[in-house]
Amino acid sequence: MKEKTFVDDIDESIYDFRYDEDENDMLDRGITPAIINEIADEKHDPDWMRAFRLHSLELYYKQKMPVWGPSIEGLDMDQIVTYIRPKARMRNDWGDVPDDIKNTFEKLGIPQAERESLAGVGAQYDSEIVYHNLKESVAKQGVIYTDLETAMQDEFYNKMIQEHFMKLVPPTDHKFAALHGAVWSGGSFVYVPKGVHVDIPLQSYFRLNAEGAGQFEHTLIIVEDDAYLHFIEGCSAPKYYAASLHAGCVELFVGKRATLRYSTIENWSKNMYNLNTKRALVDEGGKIEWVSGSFGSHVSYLYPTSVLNGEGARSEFTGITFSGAGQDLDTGAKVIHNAPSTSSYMNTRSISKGGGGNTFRSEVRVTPKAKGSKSSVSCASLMLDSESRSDTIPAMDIRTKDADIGHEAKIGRISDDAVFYLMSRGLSEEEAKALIVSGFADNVSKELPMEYAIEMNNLIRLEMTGSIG
Amino acid sequence: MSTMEIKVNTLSSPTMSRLKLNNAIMTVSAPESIEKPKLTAADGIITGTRAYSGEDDKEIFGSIKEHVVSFSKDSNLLVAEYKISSDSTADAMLIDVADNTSATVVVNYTSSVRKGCGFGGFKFRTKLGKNSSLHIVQLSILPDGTLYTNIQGDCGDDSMLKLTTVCLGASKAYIGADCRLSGKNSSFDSETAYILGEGELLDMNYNCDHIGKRTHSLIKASGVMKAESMKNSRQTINFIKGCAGSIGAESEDVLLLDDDIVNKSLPVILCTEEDVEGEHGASIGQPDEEIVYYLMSRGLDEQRILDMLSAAKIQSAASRISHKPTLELIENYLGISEE
Repeated sequence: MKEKTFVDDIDESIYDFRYDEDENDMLDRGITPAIINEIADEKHDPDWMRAFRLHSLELYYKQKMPVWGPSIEGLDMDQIVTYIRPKARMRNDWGDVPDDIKNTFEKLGIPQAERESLAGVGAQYDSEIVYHNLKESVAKQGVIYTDLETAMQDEFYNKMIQEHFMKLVPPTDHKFAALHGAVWSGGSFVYVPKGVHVDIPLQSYFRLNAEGAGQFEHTLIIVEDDAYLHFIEGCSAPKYYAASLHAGCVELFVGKRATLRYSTIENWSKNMYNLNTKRALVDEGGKIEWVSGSFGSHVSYLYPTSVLNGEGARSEFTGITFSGAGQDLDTGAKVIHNAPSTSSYMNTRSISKGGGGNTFRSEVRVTPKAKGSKSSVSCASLMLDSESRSDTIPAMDIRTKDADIGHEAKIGRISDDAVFYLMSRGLSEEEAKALIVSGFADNVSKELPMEYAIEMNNLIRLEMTGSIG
Repeated sequence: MSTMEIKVNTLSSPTMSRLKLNNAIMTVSAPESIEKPKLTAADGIITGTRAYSGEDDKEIFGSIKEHVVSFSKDSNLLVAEYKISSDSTADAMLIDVADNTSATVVVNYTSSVRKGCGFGGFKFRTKLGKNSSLHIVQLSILPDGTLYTNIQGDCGDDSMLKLTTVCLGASKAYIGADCRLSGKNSSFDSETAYILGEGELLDMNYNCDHIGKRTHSLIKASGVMKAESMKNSRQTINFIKGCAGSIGAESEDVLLLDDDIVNKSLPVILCTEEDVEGEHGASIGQPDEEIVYYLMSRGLDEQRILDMLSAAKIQSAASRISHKPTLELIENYLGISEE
């Protein structure tokens, strides 16, 4: 019988560090109208936004918790801090950011990434954006990259935000969309004017430092006709015993013949309930490209949705989910074909190990208007042991004959022959399996900029250490 | 006549409620009579009746007696012919297949009225001994009405439950099967074929639990949808920890002939065992233009071509049926009888 070694999981210390929070900066725990009004006061909300928050709160009370996915019983909403006052106002100069926050993002490599490979960076610490900067050459093209609160102070952008804010993800959508509408704070507003090509990516990084808190950032991106943008989102948090909550919202508007690539490397700590909602509306000839890597969180419900609303609109989703001990990650994607000649492609990989649970869940909907549309879904799952779980639950809802829909799913294990071959070439069993898993994840890493592909492969290597038991 | 709403075809692992696929709600008239089928079998196969002892569907079958069927010799055949009238009816069978025995049960649902069929609910609970096999063939040709059928199987070592379902009519048909592959090397092989006419509904739920080592499952569905028809297809393969060496596959092939259809599919694979292989494939769309063009170039008109393509979707399942009278019913329906 084959003998296996056991190696402990190593500490992901590059993400697991923290600074003490001042309790006085935190609003009371729980979700009440008084707290919502306090958030609106803190943020100097315009009247429409305060009313929107209070209406969303009513919807939150009325809606039920989801009953079909991973258990969220460990999430006590009465114990969640929804807003933490910022230690500093938002800065455009890195040198002005307070030291502990600056140290946090420097450890995560954000300033270095900005210098080397990004057109602009936003950094959110707990509830508020603490730093935003955009390269002058990009700003000169008319690109706006700032936080929503700042943008709302401008009359022109305030109107634009009012027209788009939570229109794609209305607070009626589900309980945590309603919660988001009530308590949202921070996030990014990006506007790319008609015909502008932003050649290098923008990145927002979200860091939740406080224990037992929630982060509810709102990302609103409008890419006008014939424009191009690559936006990267990263997230992490230190590990605490108390449950934390991430209920962000991403709304993406892609104009005619425009392209938006939205890449995410999510590495929340493993006490996080990640109940995030992401949605894109794509106009005629436009394209949304999702690249998604999910590595962290205790529980995730995450299904980026593409609404293909203009003739010839396209969507591509490339995703990987890696679930280890104590994790139950329910991820996937949705696409709604709602115009003629639209096309979508979904390609996902999921890996389960050490007792982790993984569910790939998807929906392809083709409405009667979407004649001549095509969709292809491919998902593959890898089980690294029999302590883990891997499920695939893809749904299709087709309502026109003039559609071409394909779907394939596979589930299996690492081939013994492949491991044997690599071991015969001098690799240890652990190295061989890590290499095979990296290859399995290649569909995602090749879609990422080099620096992020390396980070993702490092995460896989970290997760694989100790998987041979 | 009282009506009741019954939850049927429940998914073993629910998904987003908004998709409305976690189960089906069937609205039917309460069964007023026990269906008296024409049962044809050799002596000793039908051993009697007893109170329904199933744990589910008690709303439909709770007040009836089920036939007790016991196969203990090779080459066994039971044919059940149900003629559904305007009344609501129900029937159930408890089928036991002894070790080293092969058997076939053919069930035909036809109508005794030209129009105005009521509700028919039918349940077959089966237990397969070691090294046995059971092939259940179901054919539905109803002008309208509501049909509910559910098959449950529990398979011992080296046994096989084979299921062939051909659905060619019923206003609403709810068809399901739930197979437990408890024994090592046991297998479940299900193939369903259907043609959905104007406004018809077909709601399917096939579930297979892999429990024993080296178990195999294949769940196939193929069919044709015409105007304003609606189809829900749920297929679930569940690899349960301990079923090492098991293989499961699901496939679906749907030909869409008209607009205004609603075609929902949910192929599910659940897995808590590392050493398995599971896969699913689906192909949904209208007839291949090149094939239609080629056949038209050979002198066939478009309607004839569509009829041929529809018949082709049925013929794979039909080829598994060796009971000639049932085959003739299918061929007559499709208009492909040689006579």
